[in-house]
Amino acid sequence: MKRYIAVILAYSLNSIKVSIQSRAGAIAFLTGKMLRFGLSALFLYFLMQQTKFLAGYTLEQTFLFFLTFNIIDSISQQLYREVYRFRPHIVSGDFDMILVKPIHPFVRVLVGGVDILDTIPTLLYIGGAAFIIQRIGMLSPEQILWYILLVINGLVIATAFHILVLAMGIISTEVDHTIMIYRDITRMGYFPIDIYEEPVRSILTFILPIGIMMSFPVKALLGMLAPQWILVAFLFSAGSLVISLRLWRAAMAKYQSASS
Amino acid sequence: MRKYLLLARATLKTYLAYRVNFIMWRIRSMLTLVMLYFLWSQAVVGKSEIAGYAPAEIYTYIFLANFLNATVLSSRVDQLAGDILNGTIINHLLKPFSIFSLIGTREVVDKMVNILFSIAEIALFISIFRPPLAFPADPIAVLGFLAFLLLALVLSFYVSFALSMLAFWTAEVWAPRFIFLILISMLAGSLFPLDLFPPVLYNVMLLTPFPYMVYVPAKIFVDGITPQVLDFAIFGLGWLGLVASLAHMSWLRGMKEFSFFGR
Repeated sequence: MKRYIAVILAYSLNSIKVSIQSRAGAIAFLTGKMLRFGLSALFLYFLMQQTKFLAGYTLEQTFLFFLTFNIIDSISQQLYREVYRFRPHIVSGDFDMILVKPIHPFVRVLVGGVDILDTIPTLLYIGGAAFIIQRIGMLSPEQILWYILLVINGLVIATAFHILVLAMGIISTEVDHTIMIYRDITRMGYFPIDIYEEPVRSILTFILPIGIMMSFPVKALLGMLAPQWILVAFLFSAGSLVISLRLWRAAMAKYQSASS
Repeated sequence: MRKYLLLARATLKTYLAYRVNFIMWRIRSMLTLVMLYFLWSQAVVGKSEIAGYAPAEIYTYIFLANFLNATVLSSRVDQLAGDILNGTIINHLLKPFSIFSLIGTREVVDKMVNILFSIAEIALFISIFRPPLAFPADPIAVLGFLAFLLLALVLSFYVSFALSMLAFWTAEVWAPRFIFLILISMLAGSLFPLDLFPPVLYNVMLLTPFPYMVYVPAKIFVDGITPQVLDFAIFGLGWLGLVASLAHMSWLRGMKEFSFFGR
């Protein structure tokens, strides 16, 4: 375990060096992210000024959904940035060099490029969510605990998605669009899942588990999620992680190096 | 003419060669439409209007914005930056036809494919969900929409072209394009009508080139020809003149300074 932590830290350090080497790129990345967040927040604010409620949620509650989406999305992007660079490893045959190393390939291809630049927006989103939670008030420590646990649960599902993308990359060499489709699907959790009508809502909750990932934490915080649904959420994340790992193993069994 | 047809056919074949990429790109476009449709259908529940738009007008705006997004903002001219950086632009310059014929033909094919699929997807969406729609009573509004659509296509092309020209002087072309994509995704009006914002912010946005690519054509289709259209035309054409001049100047200067080893 110590060895793994040391290797991940070394990869992360390299990743930080790469990030800050191109200052213009780093500044543009951060500026772009902040601009997108700021303009989206402004749009949501002015939309709610017109509507007062969105699918029955108040302005503060809607903002909490929006910030929770950003927290989960930002942390998963920060941790799994290397997945976006997986395709060149496959098509060039470099993946062989990763496989022969005496560590699990996930250390390189899943968490081998932790993106330090995402820390600033992530902290901003967490701060914003904490501010709104404090403003809503009247929340028990138990509700806040469920919120935190379900955010972590959302991150587990995000991990499963990223492993699935890696497995698909090995089988089909297609990574870029798969990861972007994942991003677009998760973006549907920008707003409470209740805005969608049936059967879209059920599809987005149980088939593409955006509802479980992004909306369940806030619903649990607001006391709107029955205990059995919390259990379903944890079972779903465990199940999706197991399935993605099995698919990864199946993909590895079929892997043929591009160079051989 | 034959060479352009051959170029067009070659461009079309690249779509057919990378079918999965294309299908996934279209799925992504549909997902955005699904999210926006349900967001706005919740926003208009129990309301006769929102920010001056009746529900039918909002739905029409969202569908038009999706169509304009697919048509105006889809472009392959960004590849030019990569061609300059890795030197492959030399291959294009040595061919017995102008590089602009190549870029122009690629753009036309790209737009035609996107227009075709975008219309089919929106028609499918409307046939499934059957939202109320608003069509302009005055045919002049349709002509106005088409005129501003043309302006949007040319403006978007030149903005993207000008950004690609940066590759003549710096390898950091990714950074300004990233900012550009963020700004265009939020300020063009692809996600919402910009007049949802307070007048001060709205007027500031109209000073940028982005609203003339999506918001303005869609607004003219929904609202018809209003006195504000003259302002749109002045600012839209002003931006077009400015960006086109900048793009042409950068191209000429960049070509004079361009050199590449090893090809």
